[in-house]
Amino acid sequence: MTQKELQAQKLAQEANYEQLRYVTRRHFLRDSVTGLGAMAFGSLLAGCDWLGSKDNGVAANIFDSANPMAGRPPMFPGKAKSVIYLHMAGAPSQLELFDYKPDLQKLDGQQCPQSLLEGKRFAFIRGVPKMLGPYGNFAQRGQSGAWISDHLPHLTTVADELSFLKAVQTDQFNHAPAQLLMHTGSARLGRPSMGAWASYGLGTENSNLPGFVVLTSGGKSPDAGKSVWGSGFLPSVYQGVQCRSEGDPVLFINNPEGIDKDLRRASIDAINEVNKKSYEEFKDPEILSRISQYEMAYKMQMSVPEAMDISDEPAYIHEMYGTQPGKESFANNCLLARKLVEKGVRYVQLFDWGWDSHGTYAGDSIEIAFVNKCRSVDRASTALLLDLKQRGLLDETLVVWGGEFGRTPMQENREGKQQSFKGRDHHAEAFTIWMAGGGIKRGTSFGETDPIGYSPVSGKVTPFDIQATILNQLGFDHEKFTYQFQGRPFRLTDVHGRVINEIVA
Amino acid sequence: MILLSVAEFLGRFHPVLVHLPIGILLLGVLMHWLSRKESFHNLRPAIAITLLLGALSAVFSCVSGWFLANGGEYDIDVLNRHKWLGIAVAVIAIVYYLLYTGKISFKTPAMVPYVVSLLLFLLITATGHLGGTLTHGEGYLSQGFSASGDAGKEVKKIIPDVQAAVAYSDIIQPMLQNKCYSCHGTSKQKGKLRLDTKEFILKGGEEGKALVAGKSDESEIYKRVILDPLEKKHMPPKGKPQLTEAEVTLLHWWISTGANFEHPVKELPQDSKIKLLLEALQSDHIATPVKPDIPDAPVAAAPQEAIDKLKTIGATVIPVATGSNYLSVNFVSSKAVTDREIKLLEPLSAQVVWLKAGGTSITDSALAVIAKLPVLSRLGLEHTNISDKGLPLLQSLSRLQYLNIVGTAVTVNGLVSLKGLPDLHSIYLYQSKVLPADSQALRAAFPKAMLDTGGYVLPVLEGDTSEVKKK
Repeated sequence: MTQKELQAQKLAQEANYEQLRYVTRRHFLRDSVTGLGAMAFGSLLAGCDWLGSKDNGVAANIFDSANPMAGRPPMFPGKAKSVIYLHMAGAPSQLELFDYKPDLQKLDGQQCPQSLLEGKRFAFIRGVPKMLGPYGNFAQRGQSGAWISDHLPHLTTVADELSFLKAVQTDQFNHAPAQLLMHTGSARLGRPSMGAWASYGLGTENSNLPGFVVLTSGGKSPDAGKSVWGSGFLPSVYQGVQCRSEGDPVLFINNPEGIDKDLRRASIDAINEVNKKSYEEFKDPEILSRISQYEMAYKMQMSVPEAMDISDEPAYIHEMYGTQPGKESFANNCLLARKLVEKGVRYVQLFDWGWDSHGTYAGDSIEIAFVNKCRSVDRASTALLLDLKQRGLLDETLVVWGGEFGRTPMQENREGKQQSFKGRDHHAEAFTIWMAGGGIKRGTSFGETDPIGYSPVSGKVTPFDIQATILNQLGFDHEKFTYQFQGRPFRLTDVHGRVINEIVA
Repeated sequence: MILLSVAEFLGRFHPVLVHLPIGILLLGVLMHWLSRKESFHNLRPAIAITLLLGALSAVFSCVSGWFLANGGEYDIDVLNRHKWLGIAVAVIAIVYYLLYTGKISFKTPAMVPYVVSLLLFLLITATGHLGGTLTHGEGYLSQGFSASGDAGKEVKKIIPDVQAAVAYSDIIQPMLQNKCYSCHGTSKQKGKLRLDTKEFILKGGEEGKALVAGKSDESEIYKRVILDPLEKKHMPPKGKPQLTEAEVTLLHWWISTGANFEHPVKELPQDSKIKLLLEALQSDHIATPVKPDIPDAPVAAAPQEAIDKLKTIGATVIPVATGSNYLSVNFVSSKAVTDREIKLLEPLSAQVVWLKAGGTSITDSALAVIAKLPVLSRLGLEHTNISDKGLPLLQSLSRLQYLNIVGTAVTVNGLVSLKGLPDLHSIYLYQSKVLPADSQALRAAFPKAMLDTGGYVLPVLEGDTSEVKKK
C-alpha cells in the first residue's frame, strides 16, 4: 500500500466513522417512528375510518402536497364556481345607501335616548350624541322594490339582481378585528381567510393562475393587513396572491435585467431540486408548498401579466366600467375580477379603502368624502354585474358587497365635541350587505332593522352566517368542511353559522 | 288549593302505579291457571294474597288515575273509555278475589272463577292499551308497521285563491303541521303542549298560554320562534326544520289580527308586505321546480386513462361533487384545443355534465362529439368557431339547461333548431350573430328561457367622473 492509498483508506474510515457517529440515537428513534410508528398510525387511522369518519364529520385533510392547487370537487355540486367579494373597507353607511329610515330623519338633531346608549360601547362616540337623519334621497327600485338611495344611481338599475341582507350584526366595532372576523371567522389573527378555505377546498380551475387573488384600491390596504387574506394554518400555498392594477401586477414579476427566461427556468429547477432533497430529509409539506409556489410563480410570470392586462379590453368595456388602464382604481379591479373569474380563479377579493365616514373633516365626511366614494364604486360595481351577466358568468359567480360593520344612526361626537361635518361612528349592531349571482335569489331582501336602523328586529345574520352561505354556494357544508390542525378539526365558522336559506335560490 | 295540588301530586303517580295491578293480577291469573296442574299445587297458598294485592293496587290506580285525569289535556273519548275499563278492572279483580277465596259463592259451577279470570285478563289488556294511547298518542302501537316515509313529508296545501282561503286551516295549520306537530301533536306533547287543534292551541302548555290573540309579542308560540336560534328555548329546536322568514311573518300577522280560526284571509287586515307573502302561497305562484342539472341516478366511474389524457392537454376534469362520478370539464387553461382534442371526451360521454369549451379553437365538427354527451346540462361554447351548421346537432342534448354562445357566428336560424330542448332555460347570446330583430322569433321558440343578448350600456352620469368639493 502506498502512502496515498493509506491516506485514502484512512479518510474513508474517518468518513465512515463520522457517518456512524452521525446516526445517533435520535436517528434510530426517528427511523423507528417512521417505520413501526407509521404502521401503527396507519392502522389507527384505518380504525377511525372503520368507525365512520364520514359520519362524525371529521374528514382527513384533502391537501395533496404534490399538487396542492389541483382542481378538487366540492362536497356537493355548488351553484357558484367562483366568488368576487367587494369589500368596502372602512365600512360604508347602510343608512345612506340601503337601509331607508324615514323615522330617523324626524329625529335628526335630537338627543339620542339613553336607552340606546346604556351598556353600549362605541369607538368614538362619548356622552350623549345627537341623532343624524339619512343623507340622500331614497326610492324603491326595480320590480323588487329594493330601497336604494341616489348615491348609487347605476346600481339602482340592477336592483332586481341583488339580494339584500339588511340585519347583519357583528360583534367587533374596530376595523381590523371586524375585517378579520368577516373574512377569517375570528377577530384574532391566525385563522385562514375565506378565500384560502375556498382554494384549499376547490383548488383552481386554471393551473396557470392562483386560486385566490386579492386586489386593493383606495390608496391603503385594509387595517387587518395581509392576514385578512392569509392562509392561517392551511398550507401557505392557499393564501391570497395580491395583485396590483398599477405597474407590475405582481411585484418583481418580471425577470431582472440580465436574466432571461431559460436562466430563470434553470435556476428554479436547481432550487426545486434542493428543496426536494430537503423534503426527502424532513418530510415537511410546507417544502412541497414552496416547490409548487416556485412552479406557480414561473407560470405566473407568463400568465399573470396577460390576465392582469386590461389594456386589451375593447373601448366599450372600458366605458362601461369607467376604467383607465395603468391606474390603481376600484374600477380597474372590478374589470380584473371579471377577467380572473373568466379564467377560472376561484376567489377574487377586492378591498376598497376610504369608507370610514366619521365626519371629523371633509376627507371623511358623509356629505363629501362618502359621496365621492359612492361615485367611485357605483359605475364599476354595476358594470361588473352586467358584464358577468352578459357573459353567462353571473349565475355561477357569487358577488358579495359590503363592509366590516355599519354606521351609527347618531352623529359622531368625537371627544364629546360637536363636529362640523356629517359623520357616523362604527356600528356593529346592524348593517347591510348584498349578494348577487351564484345561486342567490334575485331581487330579495332579508332581515329588518328597527325604525332608526339601530338594531335588527328580524332576520338577523352574523358574519358566520354569511360565511356559511358563501361556502354553501361553493358546495361546502360549513359544519363539515374542516382542517385538522393541532389535534382537532378547525372550521371557518368555528362553532357558529347558519346557511341563510332565505336568500338561496 | 293545597288539597288540589296534593291530588295533582298523587295523580302523577298513576303511570307508576298502573304497572302494579297489571303485573300482580296477571301473575295471580297465571298462578291460578297453573295450579290446576298437580306439579304446581304448591302455588295455591300464594294465589289468594296475590289476587288481593292486585285488586288493592287496581283500586289505588283508579284513584290516582282519577286525579290525573282532572289535571286535563287528554283526548276525552279515550280518557272515558280508559277510566271505565280501569274501574271495571278493579271491580272484577275484587269479585275474582272473593270468588276464588270462596267469600262469596252463588253455588256456581267451578268454572266461573276461570271465566272471570279470563275476563280480567282481557280487561287489563284493553285498559293498558288505552292508557298507552293517552300518553303516547293515537296509533303509537301500530306506528312501527305503517309506512315510515310519511313522517318527514311536508304537507303542501293547494290554494287556488288565497283571499278566499281560511287563514288558519289553509295557511297556519299546514305550517304547524309541518314544523310543530311532531313534538306538539298526537304522538308527543313536549312541554304538555299540543298544537293540532284549536282547543289545544288555546289551552297552552305547562308554561301557560301559548297564544294571546291579537298580541303576538305575548304569545309564546311566536316568541319562541323569533328567539335567537342558539337559545335553548328557540322553537323549532336546533336541527329541526325551521320556519321560514315568510312563515314567521305570516304567523305574526295571524296572531296580531286576532288569531281567528274561522275567518277567510280576505276578512283580515293585510298590509302590502303580507299581501305579497300571501300571494306567493297561491298555487299558480308555486314555481315548477327546476330539474337538477345532475342526474339523480348514479353512474359508473369514467375510465381513468381517459381522464388522464384530457389532463395532459391541460383540461381540468373534476367530479361535480365528492363521491360523484359525474364530471365537469373545463378547457380554460389548455392551449390549442381543436376538434381533435374534443374527441378525448368520447369515453366520458356518460359522465360529463358540465363542459366549458369557451375560447378554444373548436369548430362545428366538435359539436358532433359534444352532441353525444347525453347527460350534459351546462355547455359553454363562447368565442369559438362554431356556427349554425353545427348547432342543430345539439338537439340530442335533452338535459341541456345552460348554453353559452357568446361571441360566435350563430344566428337565430341555428338557435331555433334547439327549440325542442325541454329544460334549456338560460341562453347567452352576447356578441353572437343573433340580431335584436330576432327577439320575437326567439321568444316564440323559447317561451320560458332567459335569453341574454348582453350589450349593456350604462348611461354617462355627471357623478361618474366628477367629485363633490368642499363648499
